[in-house]
Amino acid sequence: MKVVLHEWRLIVRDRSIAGAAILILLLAAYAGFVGRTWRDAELSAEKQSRAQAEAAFASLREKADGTVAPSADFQPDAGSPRYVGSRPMPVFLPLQPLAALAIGQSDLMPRRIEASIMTTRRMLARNYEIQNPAHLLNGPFDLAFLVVFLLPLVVLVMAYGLVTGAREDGTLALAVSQPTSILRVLGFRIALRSFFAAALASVACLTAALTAGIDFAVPGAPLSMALFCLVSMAYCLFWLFLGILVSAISKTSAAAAVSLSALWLGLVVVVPVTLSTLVNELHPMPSRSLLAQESRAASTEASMGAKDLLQQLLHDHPELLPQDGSVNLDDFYNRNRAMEQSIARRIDPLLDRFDEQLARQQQAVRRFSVFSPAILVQESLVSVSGGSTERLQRFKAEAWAFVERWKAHFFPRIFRNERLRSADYDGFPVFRFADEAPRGQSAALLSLGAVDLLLMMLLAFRLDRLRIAEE
Amino acid sequence: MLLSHIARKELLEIARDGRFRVASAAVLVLLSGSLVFGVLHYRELTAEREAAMARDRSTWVGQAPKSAHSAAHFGSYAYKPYMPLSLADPGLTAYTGQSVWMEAHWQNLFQNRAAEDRTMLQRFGELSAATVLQLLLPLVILSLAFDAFAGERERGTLRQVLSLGAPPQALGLGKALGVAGALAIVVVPATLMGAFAIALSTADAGLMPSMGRFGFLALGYGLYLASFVLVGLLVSARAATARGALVALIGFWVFNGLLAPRVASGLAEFIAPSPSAPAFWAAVQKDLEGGVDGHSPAERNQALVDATLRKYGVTDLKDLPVSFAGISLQAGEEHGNEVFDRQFGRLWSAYESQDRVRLVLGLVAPFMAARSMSMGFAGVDFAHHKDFASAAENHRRSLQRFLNGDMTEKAKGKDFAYIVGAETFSRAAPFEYEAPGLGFALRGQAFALVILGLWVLLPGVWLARTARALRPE
Repeated sequence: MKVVLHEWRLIVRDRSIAGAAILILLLAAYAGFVGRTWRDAELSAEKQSRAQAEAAFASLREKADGTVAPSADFQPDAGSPRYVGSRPMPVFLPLQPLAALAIGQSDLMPRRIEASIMTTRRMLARNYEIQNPAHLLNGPFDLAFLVVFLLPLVVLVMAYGLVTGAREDGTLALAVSQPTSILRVLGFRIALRSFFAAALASVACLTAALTAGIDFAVPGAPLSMALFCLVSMAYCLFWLFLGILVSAISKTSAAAAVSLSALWLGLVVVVPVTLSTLVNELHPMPSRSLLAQESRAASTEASMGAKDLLQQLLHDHPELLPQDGSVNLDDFYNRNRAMEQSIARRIDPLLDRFDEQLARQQQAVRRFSVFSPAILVQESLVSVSGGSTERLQRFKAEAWAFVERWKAHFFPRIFRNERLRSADYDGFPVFRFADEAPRGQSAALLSLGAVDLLLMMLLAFRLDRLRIAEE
Repeated sequence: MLLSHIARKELLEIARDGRFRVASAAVLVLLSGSLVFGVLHYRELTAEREAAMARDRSTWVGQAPKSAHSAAHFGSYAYKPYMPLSLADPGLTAYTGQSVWMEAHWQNLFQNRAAEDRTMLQRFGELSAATVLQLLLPLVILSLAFDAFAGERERGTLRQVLSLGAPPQALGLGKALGVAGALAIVVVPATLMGAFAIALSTADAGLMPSMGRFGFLALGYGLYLASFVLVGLLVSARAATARGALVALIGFWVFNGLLAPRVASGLAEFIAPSPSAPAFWAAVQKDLEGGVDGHSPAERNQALVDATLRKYGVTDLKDLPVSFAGISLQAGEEHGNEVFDRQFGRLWSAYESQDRVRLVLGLVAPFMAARSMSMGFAGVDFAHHKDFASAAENHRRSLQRFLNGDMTEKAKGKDFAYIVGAETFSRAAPFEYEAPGLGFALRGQAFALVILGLWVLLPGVWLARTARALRPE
């Protein structure tokens, strides 16, 4: 008990530890504020986009009954499925409760897609948010960044000097001379520092959650926050045990400091950056430049045989024919539908290749995360917050499925030259994103827990030898 | 004489240090790896771009005969060239988009952002010479310099050196030269590797066109790395212990390379906010519908009819010797161009203000100035992107003018039924772009170089004064 109290006083009175802890909490508050600003901007843009679309469709709905087709093509016509179906209907990936804490890929990949009868699969990638590319290069200052990059540094300050400092100021020899195991003496100190490190991680996460304005009344939010904190705590313990182990092995405190800096740099910067290059080399993306040209070539060929394509489409889908059997083969929308399906047959396999390669890259990242806990923790935190590559890719796939439902709703009416009434507007397809529970946290916790346990055992072994060496 | 002895001793001590050898080897391995990948990708991407441009042109010329306006909608693509020095610093390349669709009525945003085709790992950074020089090498320098004075003070050798009558300024300068000499063991081969990589990449065009930019890049990095040598020695001279010096320097490195860029982005966005996509496009739509000058489409159309009738001295559109449809389309384009100039001008102005805020923060974090300098001379910053985007937009407008002009002249009586074919398409000039020269980069990065110069001058002066007052305890 006395050892514990003494250690507590040492920690609290150590200006470097206290200063670093306060700094981390201030930065956590700032990270939460940054996340909140981003989230509020996203919600505001979403609200504006929805309001514009709702107003546009409401205005059309009011005019739908009793309208006649205008004399000129492409003129506003609330009763025309051609005109109404080609108005953009935005669909959104909902933000998860903890989205503000780990932005992930949400600032790069689209979480808003506009659906219309003219939307093609290639156009989905054009829906990205407008942002200064230099800000995207720097990345956001969110809680995930603080946990992955900065929290280890504070923990290393706590770890550093526990053994070497005691050796240099002579207190280690005093401790060794006591009629008790050195492991027991240092064990209490390590246990308290572990508690402090874990507590710091949790308080930093909760501070950020407070300034980010996380609503814990939302279902799933408390559990997600608990997972976020647990992963952060396990990560901090990894750095604490590693830091103490390296300090115990190093001959001087300066050598320990340099070694710890090198380890941090290696595991948090060099390894992830190198693996990123490796993953891109192992599973390279096809060329989007050449995809665009292939698409244009397909479009050119399709337009040359548009009438034939349309006739073939109607032959394959006689249910699209109007009752009198006549279809305007020169109609822009009719021809476009036929061309689009022809182009899709040629281009979709190329687009699938992009999704497949990205999935392979993501699998490689999961495999390689064993080489760096920073990668494991980053992936885990972003997954909890809903900004992961997988979730954004799934949104893209579901948004495309919605686009196809939208087209399937309007094109039969277009072919049959039907007119829309205001009541028909209630039957328009509605987008609902089927969210899944975040995955991977149990695996991350187990992995980190196993590594922490291994480090603890190594540390115990080393400290036991330390006692012998001192004697 | 004494100076050279001190410098030589410092250099030998560092060169024999196992940490330095391991760190140097690691830096050189990472640097060479990044340059190898950089060369391979540069060649591959350049070849892809050329293939895409050639195919785009042949698709344009070979498209089926169609109405001139349909061809205007089909449009053409412009592909941004990859700058030779981007193999050392990819900069904003992955985030700006590499191509833009030039179509009628609309100025599009760029497409094909490579960052969207990557995993979360990219947020840790990109393996490039820039990452090594901006982040890793400074940490190596600080780990060498931190105990230059503080370590000697703790070991007692500083007292011995001073007792021999060594002038403290010579000691400071000698140590600086020693550390710089050790750094040269890494930097000189790195510079040669960089020049070789660029020569390999630009085999056809040759190294000479890029030499000016490369020279200034080397100067900028020289200043940046020198500032770390001086800051490291300064902190070592002023710190009570080597441990204290190291902790302070690592804290500075973390602030400089990790905290400052991200905080700078937030601050820049706060000071000069840019619009969201819905707000931006809503503003464009409003201006298109309402008219930049407040005139409605109907008013503008009537004014056009009146002006055209007056110009050709007729009283009815049927009597015009040209196609009014072509005239109307071009008037619509020009109205749209005004709108896009205004809205894109505001957007780009916000980005430029944000870039200025980030650069000014270089006064407290030299990384910001170094990054700006590096991207600027490598030709991968926003200024170069904007130059290309402007050139592409000018070409789009001239293509629309050409097609609408052809329609005006030849489509009387036919209007949109006027069909054009390969002969017309081949007369449309292809898009050609030459990247700006060294002067453009220098004008953009002069302030960044000044900031880096200040980061050498001020710590240097402070170190000289600290060295004069150096005490053994």
